[in-house]
Amino acid sequence: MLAVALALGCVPVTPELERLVSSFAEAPLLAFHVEGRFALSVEEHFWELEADVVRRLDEGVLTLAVDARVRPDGAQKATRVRLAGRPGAWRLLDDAARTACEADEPWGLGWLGSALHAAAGTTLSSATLARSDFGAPRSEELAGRPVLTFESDVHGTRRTWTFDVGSATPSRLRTVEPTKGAEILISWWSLTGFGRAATLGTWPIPAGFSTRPARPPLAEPALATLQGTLAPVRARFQGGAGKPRLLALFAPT
Amino acid sequence: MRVARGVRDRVLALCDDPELEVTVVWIDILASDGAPGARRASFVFDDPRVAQFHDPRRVVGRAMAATIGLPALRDVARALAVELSAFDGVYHDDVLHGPPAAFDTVFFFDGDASWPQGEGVPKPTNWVTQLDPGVYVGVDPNHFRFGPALRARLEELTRTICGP
Repeated sequence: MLAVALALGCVPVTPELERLVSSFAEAPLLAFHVEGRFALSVEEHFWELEADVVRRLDEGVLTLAVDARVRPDGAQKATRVRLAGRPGAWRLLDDAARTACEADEPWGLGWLGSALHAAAGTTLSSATLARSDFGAPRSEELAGRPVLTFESDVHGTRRTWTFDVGSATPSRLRTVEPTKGAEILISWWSLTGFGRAATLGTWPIPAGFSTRPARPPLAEPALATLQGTLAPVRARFQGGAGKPRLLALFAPT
Repeated sequence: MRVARGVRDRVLALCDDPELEVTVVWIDILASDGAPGARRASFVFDDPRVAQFHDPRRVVGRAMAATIGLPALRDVARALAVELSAFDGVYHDDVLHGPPAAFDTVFFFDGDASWPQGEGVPKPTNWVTQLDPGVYVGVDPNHFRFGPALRARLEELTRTICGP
């Protein structure tokens, strides 16, 4: 992998970082490589990952490779997970389970369970991932500190990601607009390397791994739109007379 | 969404009473809310006892606002000593300047509750909200829960209405 390895957590903004930032500005989005430690909360579960992520977008086609060491909470075993994907072809290897899974869509891999499967039914498809856009990084200053900033546009939602590259290790990431409402919340992460990448892992299935079938897609739930009247809600309520009932009101995002 | 997942995990998963009926209403409150968000969010529930609605004009939220004592946002701004414009871009304009609309709240009703046509929403036997009375002045603090306490309260209230 031709990656410009920058230990951003260990160094202040340097001329090398400035050159890297400039190179993205000149030829954005060919590929980038990130090494870091991530803490993910998925539903009420918590995973800690050390991941090496390469993302490539050539002419609108996404290719992704992730090599992660995962430490789940609870009774689940720590494992190494490798994910490789491009539209229509996704593969996941789980070393602890010694399983491989191949699917047309990322949610078909089903590794993170039903909750992610449900969320991914509409948000983590090949199409939306391919449409996602991470702009070229910018070098900026925030409260007197040098930071590296990205803007992302995933599924029409724009976010700004700010890496505090000038702090002591580990450098921290904060999202200016947190991923409120997402099934996956990134509690924190630290960035240990960032740069251009030329090659991606393809992760062939090792000998001795069994194959796990892909999960089928979820059926889309029925969702009726209220046209300025609460009559359908009242009718359902009255129809349930004699039964215990809940009325639950949520903001969707 | 945490409250929605709480209903899925602490109400539906624990109560196997087939008689239980859950009506979920996704209400456009935040500026980012809309039909696509409601459709994505609806995947949280996969249970035949649940019926889901999208309420873009907040009619259900407004009908339930008085039950929980929800203030209008201008009153929230006043209580927080901030300009109402501080919420620009956070809430739908109609939420910002219009009457209050309840959200992130779950109402429990027993079998006796009735809602005849032309009448207001019946009084729930109980309710729990994630709307912080420290921000939403007027919301009864006895009904406010957050995080693990919210999930525990959902479980507790479910036991009061769920059959054996």
